[in-house]
Amino acid sequence: MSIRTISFAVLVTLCIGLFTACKDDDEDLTLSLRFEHKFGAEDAVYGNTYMVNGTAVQFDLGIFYCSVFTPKSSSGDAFTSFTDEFLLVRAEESAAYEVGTFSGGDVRKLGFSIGVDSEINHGDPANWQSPHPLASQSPSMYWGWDNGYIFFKFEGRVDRDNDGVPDAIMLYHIGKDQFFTSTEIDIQENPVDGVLTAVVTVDYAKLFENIDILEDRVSHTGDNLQLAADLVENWPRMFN
Amino acid sequence: MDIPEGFPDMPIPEDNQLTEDRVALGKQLFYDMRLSRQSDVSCASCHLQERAFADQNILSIGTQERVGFRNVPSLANIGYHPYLFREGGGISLETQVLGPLEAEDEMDFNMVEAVERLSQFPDYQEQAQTAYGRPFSAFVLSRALAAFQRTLISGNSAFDQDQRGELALSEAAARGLQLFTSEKTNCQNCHDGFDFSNYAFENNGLYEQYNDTGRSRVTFQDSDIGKFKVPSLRNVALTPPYMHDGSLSDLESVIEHYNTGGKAHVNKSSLIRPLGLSDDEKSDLIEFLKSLSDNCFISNPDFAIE
Ligand code: HEC
Ligand code: HEC
Repeated sequence: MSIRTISFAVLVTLCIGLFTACKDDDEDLTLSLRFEHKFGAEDAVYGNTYMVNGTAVQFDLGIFYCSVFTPKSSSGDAFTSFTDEFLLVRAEESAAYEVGTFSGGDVRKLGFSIGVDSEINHGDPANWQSPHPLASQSPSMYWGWDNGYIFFKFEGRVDRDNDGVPDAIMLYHIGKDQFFTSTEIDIQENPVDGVLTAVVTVDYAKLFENIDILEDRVSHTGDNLQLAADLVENWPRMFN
Repeated sequence: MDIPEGFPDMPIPEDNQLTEDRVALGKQLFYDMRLSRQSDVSCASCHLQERAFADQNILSIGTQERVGFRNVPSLANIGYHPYLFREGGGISLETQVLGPLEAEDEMDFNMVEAVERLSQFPDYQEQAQTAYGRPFSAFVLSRALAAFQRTLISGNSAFDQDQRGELALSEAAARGLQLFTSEKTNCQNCHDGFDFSNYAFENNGLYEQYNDTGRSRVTFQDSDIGKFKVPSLRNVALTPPYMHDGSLSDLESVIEHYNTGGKAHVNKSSLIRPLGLSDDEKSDLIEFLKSLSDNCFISNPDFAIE
């Protein structure tokens, strides 16, 4: 080993020491999100039935886009904002999604949006290559006749005649620029080995607050704009 | 591509410039029933060449005989339309494909599944490579269909031949043209230009109460209720019945509709008002509309499949 290499090694060791000393501020941090899908206290599972304000609801599909991930400090200062990352979150998947890496800090809040911004919204899914979340999906997350992404899909059945069997179709397909919605959650988790895995709880029961689920069962957005707006108002409440 | 005299250049996206390979692939897809879940309808099942790429039904009939909610429009000169569908929600021919492909009452399929299915055919893989230099994908499917549709240009009717000084219109049709462009009828205020459409959204007084609210389905504005994209009138004699819902069975009914000034509606264009046309004038107008039929277009082998 030459003198030069040795002094380089010493320098590297010193640097590592320095970085460890002030790791809360400058260390690269990878943000990862794990979604836990719930109906109240129970796990949300396709085909299962849950009681919502005394009415039985069967859960068949929950899928939505998230974007613009913004990790923040306890005082609300943003460390960065991931504006080119998109997640298509499916209730039947529990895997963690990696959002990206930033020079971190003590992340205590996370801002994000439900849906996609208007520029992406008016683009063409065929420009994205599968398995990118913005590429064509099955079931489809894009309206072919009124071009734009469907931000959020909930499908299921509701027990209309109160016989304990959910029978009437529930279908909420929500999109359109005006419903691109941002929200913020608190982060309790601490990073492990440079990865901050934030657990995001999604509670579908909260989607129905102030909604008469016996009557207001279907909205493709435009055909029941009021219902779409009421559902969107509940979106922030669903996340914790 | 032959652009007829008097037609402007067609806007063509950077990533989908026309080549023979792309158009040929698009044509094959346009006629391929495997694009529907049940493999029972193709684009051409509803868009028939002999009907100027429209059909003769009141409302569209899709997979498993499912009845749609609109009359099928002609695709002649569709590459010039600034937006697609009767309420204008389609941003490009490339994205529009998802409409029929995924509509339950049309092809009832899904882009991911369609690509999976068609990718298995070596012919399509090969053509995708030649045309777009990549494997068969949603990109290839949507681009190729769009490329073929951009070649569907119609500009060789009796009217066009008259304009080019090759052949004179019949006297009745010539009188009809006069009327069409006159302030007496105002037809040309909306059905304007080389394609006989200004592509605006207008309410032409079809109903007092619209079941199908048209443009407002995408804008959610009350002021757009009953407004539909002004249709091109090229080949119009070949595409009965008429209007978004196929409710007027023939050209006589259409002229009668305009002559009475239509039904009262807050959004009705002020151009739609009683016209006081004589019987002769009505039949002259119809003769003119018939002169917009392009027999070369509907028999061009380039648009047909062997
Ligand atoms: C079941 C019948 C049916 C099938 C199959 C069908 N279409 Fe259509 N098409 C229609 C109807 C009806 C409309 C009008 C819909 C509207 O405006 O809401 C239409 C509209 C269109 C338009 C827009 C026309 C305009 O004036 O804006 C295009 C382009 C088009 N179709 C292309 C296609 C292609 C490409 C396919 C195959 C992938 C296809 N269609 C399959 C019935 C069909
Ligand atoms: C204010 C604009 C406007 C004026 C003026 C107007 N139209 Fe139209 N026209 C339309 C619209 C919009 C439609 C489509 C309505 C629908 O889809 O329900 C239409 C449809 C038609 C159709 C049916 C086309 C098809 O394929 O279904 C014909 C034919 C027609 N117009 C002829 C005429 C004639 C002839 C005149 C003059 C007497 C005229 N129009 C004046 C706006 C107009």
